[in-house]
Amino acid sequence: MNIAVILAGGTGSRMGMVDRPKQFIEIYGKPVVIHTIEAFEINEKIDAICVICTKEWQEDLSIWIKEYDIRKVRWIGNAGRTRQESSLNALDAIKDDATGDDIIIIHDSARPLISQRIINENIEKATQFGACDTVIPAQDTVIRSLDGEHLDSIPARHELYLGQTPQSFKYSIVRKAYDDYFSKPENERPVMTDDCGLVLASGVEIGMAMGDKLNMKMTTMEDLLLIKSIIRTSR
Amino acid sequence: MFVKSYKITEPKCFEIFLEDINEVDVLVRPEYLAICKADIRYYLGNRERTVLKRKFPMSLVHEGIGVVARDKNRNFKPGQRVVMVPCEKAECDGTKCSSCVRSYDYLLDNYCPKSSFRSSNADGFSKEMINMKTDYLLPIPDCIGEEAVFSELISVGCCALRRANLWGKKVEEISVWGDGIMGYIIALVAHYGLGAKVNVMGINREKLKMFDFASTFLVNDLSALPQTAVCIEAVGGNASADAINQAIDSVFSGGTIILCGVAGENAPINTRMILEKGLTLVGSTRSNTGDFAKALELLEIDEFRKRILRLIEGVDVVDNIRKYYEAFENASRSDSLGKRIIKLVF
Repeated sequence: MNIAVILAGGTGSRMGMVDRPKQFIEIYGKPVVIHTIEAFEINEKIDAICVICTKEWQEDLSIWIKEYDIRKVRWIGNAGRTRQESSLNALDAIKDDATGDDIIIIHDSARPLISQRIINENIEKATQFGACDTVIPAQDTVIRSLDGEHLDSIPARHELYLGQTPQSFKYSIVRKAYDDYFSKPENERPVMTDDCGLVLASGVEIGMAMGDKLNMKMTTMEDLLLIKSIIRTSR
Repeated sequence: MFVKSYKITEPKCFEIFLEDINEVDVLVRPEYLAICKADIRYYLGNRERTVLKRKFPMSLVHEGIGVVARDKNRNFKPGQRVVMVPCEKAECDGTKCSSCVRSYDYLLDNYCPKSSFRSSNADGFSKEMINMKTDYLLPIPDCIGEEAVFSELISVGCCALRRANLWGKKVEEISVWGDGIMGYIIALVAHYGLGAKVNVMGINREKLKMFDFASTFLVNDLSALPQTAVCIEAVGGNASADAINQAIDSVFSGGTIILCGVAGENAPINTRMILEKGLTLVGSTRSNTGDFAKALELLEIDEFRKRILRLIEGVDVVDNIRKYYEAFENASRSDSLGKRIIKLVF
């Protein structure tokens, strides 16, 4: 079974909007999170979807799921205080139905332009390697600075990639990585910004699926403007 | 939902479009596509400038099969392979307009001027997902692989025989002009669909060798060509007139000539002989869903399917716009009988 996990628990504070997190902003009359869920809903390899969001938005989410005739959402789970907690809650939500070899595809709700190819490549690579990250090659030169004022080094660009989502794993692998991580006292847990960092720390080999520039994350108002400006209405 | 597509915006120029589409009946992911001559004419800009301006931007390609992603009405299962019929009947309120074809049941959907045809007056199949009405999708039987991408061309052959009322009749022999892909497919349809002996006329010895199920003749030596009651012209272009005139000469009096080729210019043909022989000329290029169903029936015949498979010269995985360009460049340079087909990945 291939299970998509859509993380929609963020508060979107960088968007500046006060009444709703970014994933619930509407683009052409439909919330961003629904656009994102639909990309997985229509993928024939995805069997079920788990959506993680804050309690206060779960009723709205349920209404939209009905309104837009989304049929694969089987679980709606609570968001945690951190991304890791949200992912853990998702793994807990699906635990009775997931088996060790099932593929879990974890995706940011704020990346609504994900393509079917990326989803399929994630499933393929996670099946092959046990874990998979979605990346795009770095096209600009990346500068490393430790103090934010002085340049420390310029890493070789050909070795650098930018991470996107989805990040996909066999259930047994991601489960073990999360159990190990959360078995440590809170103050001893390393800071992680994504699920792959956590799985990599547990010593698992991670394959790479090629992402897409269009699979951009909506973080700021400028991103929203960009996304809206490249979408054309169909005729 | 957001869907990507490739659209031609001017000759030799494709752009990536990202559109928000609304679901109608069935969402289908186009999987295998074949580029046809009409697509190449748009790509190369070989149509009037005003026509192109009116049609662009437009997604090209109308020969394709896909995989059902979702069906609101649950007639199809997700993952089910389907043939996508490129024509769609216009919504009709029953009022007869000046160009109404409803009285001519043999013409059907595709001849209504208000109907749409993909990659002509509506977007073609070069899309990540496409909205289709249930009536324009046909399930592909398991025994048929990606060769089903040729269903559209086969359906045109089936349509030609339907238009001449030949289905279900005993037809001893048919002569077909044209050694291109359309001639090949029509000859196959006549042979396996009607059980007829088929004569094929062409100019290219190498291509004619592929017609090993038929008797073949070079057009400059038809002395041994027997007369038949039915002739089919599948030549098109500037050679149409010569082919039609040869057919007029070789058809029995009272016979039928089916015209399937799109002539380059107005074709000068021997109308005196048409009158003398009392011939019937039938124009047929536009197939409908019933013809597609017949095409799939034929593809279930092993020998027929194997001969269609010969037309696939390779499969190109097109997972970016650069490869999409390459596919069109290759198709526009190709002079072979078969085609390379596209596996579309967005």
